[in-house]
Amino acid sequence: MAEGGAGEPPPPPRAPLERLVLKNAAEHHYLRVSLEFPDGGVRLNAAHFKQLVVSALKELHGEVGAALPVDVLTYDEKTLSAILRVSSSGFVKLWSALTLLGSYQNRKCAFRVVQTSPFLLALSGNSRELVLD
Amino acid sequence: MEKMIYSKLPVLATQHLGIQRQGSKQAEAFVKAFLKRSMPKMKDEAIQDKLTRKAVVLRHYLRRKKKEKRKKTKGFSAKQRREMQLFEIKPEQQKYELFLPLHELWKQYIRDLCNGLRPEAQPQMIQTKLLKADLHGAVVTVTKSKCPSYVGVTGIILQEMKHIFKIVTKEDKLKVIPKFNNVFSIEIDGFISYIYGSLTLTSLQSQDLS
Amino acid sequence: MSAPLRRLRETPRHLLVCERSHVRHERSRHAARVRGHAYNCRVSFLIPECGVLPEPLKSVTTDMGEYYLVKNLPLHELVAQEFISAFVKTGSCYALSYNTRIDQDNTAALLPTDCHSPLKHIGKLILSVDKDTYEELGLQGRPSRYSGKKIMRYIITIDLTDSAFHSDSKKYKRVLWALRDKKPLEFDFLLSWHHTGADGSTLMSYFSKHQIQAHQPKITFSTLRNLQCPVLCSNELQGKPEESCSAQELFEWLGAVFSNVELDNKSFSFVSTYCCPEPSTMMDQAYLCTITGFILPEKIIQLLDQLCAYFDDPKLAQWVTLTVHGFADSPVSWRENEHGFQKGGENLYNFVVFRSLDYWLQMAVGANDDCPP
Repeated sequence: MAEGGAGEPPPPPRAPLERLVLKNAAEHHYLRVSLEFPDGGVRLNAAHFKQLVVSALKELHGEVGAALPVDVLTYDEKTLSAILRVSSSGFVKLWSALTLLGSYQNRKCAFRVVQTSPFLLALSGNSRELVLD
Repeated sequence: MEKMIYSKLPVLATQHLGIQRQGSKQAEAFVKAFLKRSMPKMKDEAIQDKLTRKAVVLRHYLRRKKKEKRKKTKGFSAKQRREMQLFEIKPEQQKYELFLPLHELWKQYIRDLCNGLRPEAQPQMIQTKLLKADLHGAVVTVTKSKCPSYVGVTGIILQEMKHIFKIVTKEDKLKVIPKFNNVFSIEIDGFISYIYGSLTLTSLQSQDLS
Repeated sequence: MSAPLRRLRETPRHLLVCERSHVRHERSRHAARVRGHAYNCRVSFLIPECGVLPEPLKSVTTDMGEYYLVKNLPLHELVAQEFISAFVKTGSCYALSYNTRIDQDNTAALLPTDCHSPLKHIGKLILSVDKDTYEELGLQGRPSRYSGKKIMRYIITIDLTDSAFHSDSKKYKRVLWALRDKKPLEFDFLLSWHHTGADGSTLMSYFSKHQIQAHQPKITFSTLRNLQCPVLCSNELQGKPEESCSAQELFEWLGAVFSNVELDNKSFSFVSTYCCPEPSTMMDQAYLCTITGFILPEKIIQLLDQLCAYFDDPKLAQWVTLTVHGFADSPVSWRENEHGFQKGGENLYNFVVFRSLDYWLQMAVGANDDCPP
C-alpha cells in the first residue's frame, strides 16, 4: 500500500483495529447539473425536470435508457439546477444523454454537468467554487 | 491513280505552296540524308535494303548523350575515419576562447547571408535563411528539452553531425547534445531564432546539396 | 454483452477506505491522517441533538486562523533562502496555487515541515506541470502516474529543507535560475503559516511588496430540525441488517444532509426515491457547522479534540461527525501521494466519533489518486 518513502523502517502493524478498502464499490454516482436556456424565462417544476431527464435518456438509449432509475435529489426552480443520482452502471448513459439533449418543448436548451462524483458528500464541497476577493 | 501520285507537281501548285522544285538527283540525296538521320544506327546498305523491301517506320530519334561515368572519390570509410580520429577535438583545443574567432566568422557569414541583417528586416526572411545556414560557429542555447539537464546549456557549435551538435561551453567543456527532442535558440544581433532539433536530422551531405 | 456496451457500464475508479479505531488507542493514527492531508477547503461537523455549541468548541470554530491570498507571486520567492529560513524551517508553512486547475494548468504547492514525523514530508515544494513547461523549465521531475502512455504531465519535487539546498549549492542555484530566469512561473497563492507563539501576520509583512489580502474562513451555522438519522454501532463498520447502518450508507446520508436532500421519499415517488438508510431514528434537531477557506490540519486536529471532549459530559448524541474536503486541484492528497483530477478530483475524509470515543474514519479519493495511507 502507499506507505511511501524510501529508507523508512518497515511499517508497523496496521494501526486501526479494522480497515476496509472499498474499490469501485459505490452503488450510485451523483451529478450536479444545471439546465440552461439561451433566452431564459422557462419555469419547470421538479416533475417536469425529471420528465425532461427521462426523455433525454429515451431519445439516446431508447426504452432501456428510459427505464434507468434516476433520482432528482435536489432541485432548485430558480436556477434550474439539480443533483441527480443514478446507479453506477448507468452513469455514462445518463451523462451522454444529458449532453446530447438539445431542446425542451421546441426551445433550445443545454444541460451543464457542473460536478460529478461517486460520493454525494464530495458534491457539497467544491474547491473550484471557492471565490475570494 | 499511281501515276497521279508519282507525277510531278504542277507548276501552279508549287508556286502557290512556295515549294521549290528539286531535280531528281537532289531529291534522292535529300531522301537519303533524311533516312540516315531518322535511322542513325543503320548502315547505308541496310537502309537501301529496307527501302526496297519493307515499309519504313519513320520516327523521331532522340540522340542520347553519352553519360560520363562519374569518378568516385576514394575517401575513407566510416570505420577508418573513426580509427584515425579525424573528427575528434583534442582536449587541449577544447577552449571557448579558441573558437571565438570562428563565432565572429559565423556572425559575418550570417550578416552577409541576410544582406546586412538590419533591425527592420523581416524575421521570416531571416528565419528561412538561418534554417539553411551552416551552424558551425553559432552560439546556441538549449531552451527546451525532454531531458531537463540539457536545458540552459550554452556554447559555440564546433561540429554538427546527423544526430548531434558538439558544442564548447564557456567553462571550456565539450558537450555533445543530441538534436532529437531538443529545441535550440540562436541569437544574432537581437534576433532570436528557434531551431527544432527533431526537424534538422539530416546528414550534412544532403544539407550541402540543397 | 459486447465490449463497447460493457464499457458503457464502467465507471471511473474510486476508492473509499474505512477505518475503525479508538481515539485513545496507542496506535491510533487519526492525528497523522489529519496532519497528512495538508490542503483543506471545507470543514463541517454535525452534532445530533445539540442546540447550542459548548463554549470551547465554539471558540475553536471561530478561531480557525487567517489565511492569505497573494496575487501573482513569482514562484522563486518561495525558494528564496530568506523565505525558507523565516517560514519553512521555523513553522508549518502551507501554500497552494489558487484557481489553477490540475488537469490543465501548472499547479504548485508547498508542503509544510512536519515536526511530528521528521522523516516524512519536510518542507517540499511540489510542482505539477504540463509537458511543455517541464521541457522548458529544466528541473528534474518524474512523469505523473496518471498521464497515460503519452506523458503530458510531470511532477517536480524540490526539497527546501535539504541540507544540500543552501545558497551556495549547485542545486539551489539551478532551481533559482530555472524558476527566476529560465521560465518565470507566477501563481496566485493561498498561504498560511502555523507557528506556536508567532502571529500569521508576519507572512503579510514579508509579502507586503506583493498584492496580499488576509482572509478569514467563512463560518455558517445551521440547526436542522426533525432530522432522520441512521443508527450506528461503533463495532459494526459494515453494519448489520435490522440493527445498524454501514459506513458507506452513513457516507451517502451525510452527503444528502449537507446538500439538503429530502430524506423521506416514498419508493413509488416519481422525482426521487432516496430515503434515509434503515434503521433510523428521528432527531428533534442537529447542529451543522461549515467552515470554508484554506484550513490548516493543525486547526482541524484542535477541532477534532474538542469534538471528542464534547462527550466528556453526558450527551444525548450517540456520535458526532467531522467532514473535511480537500482541494480538488491540489497536487497531493495525503502526504505526498499524487492527486489528480479526472472527473471529480475528490479527496475528502470523514470522522464519526462515538460516545465511547471509538471512531470511524472514511477516506475517499477519485480516479487519479493513490490509495489513502
